[in-house]
Amino acid sequence: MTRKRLLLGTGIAVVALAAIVVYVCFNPSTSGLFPRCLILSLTGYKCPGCGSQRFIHAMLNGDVRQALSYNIFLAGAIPVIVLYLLNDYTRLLPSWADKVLKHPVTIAALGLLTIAWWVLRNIYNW
Amino acid sequence: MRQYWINYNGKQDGPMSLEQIAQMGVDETAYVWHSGLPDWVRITEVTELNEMLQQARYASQQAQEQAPEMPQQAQEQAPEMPQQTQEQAPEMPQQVQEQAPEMPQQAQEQAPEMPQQAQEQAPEMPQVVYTAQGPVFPAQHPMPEEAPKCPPTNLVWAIITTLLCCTPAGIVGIVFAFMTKKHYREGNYEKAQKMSDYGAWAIIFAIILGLITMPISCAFQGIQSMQDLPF
Repeated sequence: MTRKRLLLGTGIAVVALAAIVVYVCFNPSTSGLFPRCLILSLTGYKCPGCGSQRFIHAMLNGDVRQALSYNIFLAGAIPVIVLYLLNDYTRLLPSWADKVLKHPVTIAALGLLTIAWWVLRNIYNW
Repeated sequence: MRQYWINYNGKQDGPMSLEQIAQMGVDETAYVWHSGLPDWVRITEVTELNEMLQQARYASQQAQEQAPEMPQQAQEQAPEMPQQTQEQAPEMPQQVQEQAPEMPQQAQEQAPEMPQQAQEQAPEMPQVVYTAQGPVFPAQHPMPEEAPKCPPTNLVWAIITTLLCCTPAGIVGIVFAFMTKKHYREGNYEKAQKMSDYGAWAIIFAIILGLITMPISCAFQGIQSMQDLPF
């Protein structure tokens, strides 16, 4: 069990490191290496995650303002995702965190926020 | 004859004979206790009850014909609770109490009482069979949860797929996560499990779609960027 976990952890760390190196070195806006958003390609409308790759590239190169201009929603979403992952896969968070994070109200709020961001960014071209 | 206490669908009953349990038509989710056991165990871990379950499955129709009436006698036999067994009575963890507020206080009081008679029989209990089938439970092993654990909401993965792979499927995943929790809180465990499964499928669909389209998208991008080149 612990060995399996160690292997899994190492695997995730290696992949994450490789991804970070790729995103530091290559610019998604100019390079042809990166996948384009399926929704943007098909419909011409941005999805809630559009700009994530450019966001990560800019962030890793220290250009926070540029990163936020690509996808400001991601700046809030990443800490939330990290919180959920910590809650689901580690025991670092207190037990009440699970109740708050998995409360129907929280889930509904997250869903509605995402949809609101999706609509608004296409109206105002954020 | 050995008597059993049973905990099924959040309800506790006992003492009962093997035949009475057979007539109840319980499934593998039930927990049982009989004197000699340090704590509640899954019904499948008690050899004779497990055999009974298997037989009942094959002859389920026959079992249905026998009306599941409980003889009056069994209720009258309800033994008194000696002080000693109260300590052994499995305690319910705090968490479970919060998760299942509808559980009546009564149930705790009904926690298995060991009749005097059974205490004498205790040394005869086939402890060996029990230990051979599984790990020995510590004396303070928590009582089986009244409410089953909440099925996974898959919420993180729904959010991640919303932002990375496929927004519509991800949003559907978030909706299913909400439904899972909603049904669970209402005590509708089967529906919650169903919604949890649907949510998982939505996310799997999104990831597969992403894995298929990403290389195509990359190749397409590559061709386009090559056309931009001067040669």
